[in-house]
Amino acid sequence: MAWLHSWAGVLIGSLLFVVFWMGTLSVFDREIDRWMMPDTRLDTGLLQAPLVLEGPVSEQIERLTQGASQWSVVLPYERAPVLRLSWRPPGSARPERRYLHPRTGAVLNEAETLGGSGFIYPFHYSLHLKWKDLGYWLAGLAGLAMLVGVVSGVVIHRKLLADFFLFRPRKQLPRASLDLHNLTGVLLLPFHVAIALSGLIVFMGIYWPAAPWAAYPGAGPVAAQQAFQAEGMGVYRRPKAGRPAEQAPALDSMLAAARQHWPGSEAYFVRVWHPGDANSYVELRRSPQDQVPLGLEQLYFDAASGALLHEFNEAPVMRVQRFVSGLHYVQFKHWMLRWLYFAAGLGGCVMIGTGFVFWLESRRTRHARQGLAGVRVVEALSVASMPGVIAATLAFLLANRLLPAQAQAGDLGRAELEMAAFYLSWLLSLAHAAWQGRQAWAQQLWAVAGAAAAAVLLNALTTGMPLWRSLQLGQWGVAGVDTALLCLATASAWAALRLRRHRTRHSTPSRHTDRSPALQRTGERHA
Amino acid sequence: MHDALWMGAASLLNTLGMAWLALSQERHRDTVCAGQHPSPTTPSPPTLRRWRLRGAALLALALGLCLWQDGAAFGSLLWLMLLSASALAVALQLSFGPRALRWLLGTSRMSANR
Repeated sequence: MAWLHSWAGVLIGSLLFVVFWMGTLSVFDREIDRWMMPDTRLDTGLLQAPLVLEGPVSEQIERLTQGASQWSVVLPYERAPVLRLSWRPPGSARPERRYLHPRTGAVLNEAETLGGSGFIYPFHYSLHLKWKDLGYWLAGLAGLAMLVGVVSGVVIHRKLLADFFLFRPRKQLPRASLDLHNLTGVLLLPFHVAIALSGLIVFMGIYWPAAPWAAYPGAGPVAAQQAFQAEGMGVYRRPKAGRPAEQAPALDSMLAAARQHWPGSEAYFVRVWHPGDANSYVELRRSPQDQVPLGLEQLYFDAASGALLHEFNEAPVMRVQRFVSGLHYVQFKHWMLRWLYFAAGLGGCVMIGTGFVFWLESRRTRHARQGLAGVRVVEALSVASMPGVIAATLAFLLANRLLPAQAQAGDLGRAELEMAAFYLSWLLSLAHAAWQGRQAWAQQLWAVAGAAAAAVLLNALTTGMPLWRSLQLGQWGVAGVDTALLCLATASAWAALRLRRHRTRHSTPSRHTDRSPALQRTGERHA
Repeated sequence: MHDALWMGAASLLNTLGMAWLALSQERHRDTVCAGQHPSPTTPSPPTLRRWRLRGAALLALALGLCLWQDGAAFGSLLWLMLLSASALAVALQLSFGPRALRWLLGTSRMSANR
């Protein structure tokens, strides 16, 4: 099964690393948002007082969403102490979004960025490839490859229990990287299986669109999909009356009613349907903060009378799906688990990276001798997909701190320019890797180290919130991102130095492979 | 504060449990004892079995603590994630500073001689 493991790894590993890297960052997407949107770094003390929507906040919302058929807000919480308002302006295809101050309703200047939750998080599951859902399918393929890799990896591992704790960093590069590959692969096995499998289950509607057709025989594909949506996920709709409403909805008492209805929890999301119409109604969704499942509980209130119109609780089987989804989404409030997920995600990145290094190092000499292009091609792809995508992410952060507020280039606004910085750096990294070959590893690692340090510096200079200040203010998100960037800078510089030392110590590449017959065996079954 | 305490305790229990399991393997015992004089005697099979049992018991204790404090859903998830983290911590300790684990063998040799 070694051939399966290697082919799955080499062909899809690059994609898998990108998905893993973006997913790992998504664990802290709201924190990255705060880092990238300095005006939304509000004092979390604001959350101590109960939220009041009626008054300045709802007046502001009414002003902004004039004529919209619906609007919604995500309520402030610890990780994002702002109100996130979304609506679709009449006649527009694109939804609008603003961050509001939770007390005054003032529109916060978020400096036109998609941030962590708008760019990094969707990248994780859609790669921003919208055409025919291609990105979702590629991410699904990566998840499948992960499962294939984990299972075949366990099968081909010769001494799983004997080598359970084994890591020999001072051995030659192929041996050391194989050790680390096995170590992270085996010790994080539960995480890897759970995260890949749950990732596939989260998007069951995309990967298995035919499932509802079987559940609702006789109904057409569209009707079956709608029936599944309504029964499984909860949908309540009521048409417009066409008459103006007599009064604004009493949102705050509805929030209080929701707290009563869901003891120990509360609503995190409020949507007003047909605002201003006599048939207007309000949708509340339960916060996922206090439990593992990403629940679907919803309450619908009549906007005029405040009467409960409809209540939705998912069926037990759906609850299982939501538990699995919750495992993947990590929307619960549990800082220890959040950090462990982040660390395990990084461990997954290390596993994929060391897998590539081992593949390359154990074939380098032979491919050169036989004139095969495999190592060259895979090396360029793996450098671009690993240090390259990290460097591109940092370029995204740097662009966020460097671009002026009103930046514009042709049709591209500031948010698009930040994305352009990401994609251009990524392309550049691929070209550089193809050109520089083996040297590209260390060079791009140095680029990562420099860019990460520069991002910390720029945050301090442009937002007036250096690390000690953010710690003092209790801006944990900003402090956390800065700290992680500093760790990244240190780790990349260390890895780059380490690579150079390996090269000088074992100067001729032939010694890497020729002196380790055991490695040859595992590596040579295919090329 | 309360959370930090019990989660710290659970992490510690898991790490100690994993360390016992690692030390019941000859290879790791050798790295931990490298350069020690006089070189320690090889523990007997019953002793090794006792170490493994002790390691497993500590892991089970950590599971119990997590379930008790955090409920079935969060507790089992936390324990599983901590299990991976503590095993990695032990592996890294064995590669970068194995001697720090020598005291574990010290206490176990005493129990082995009993």
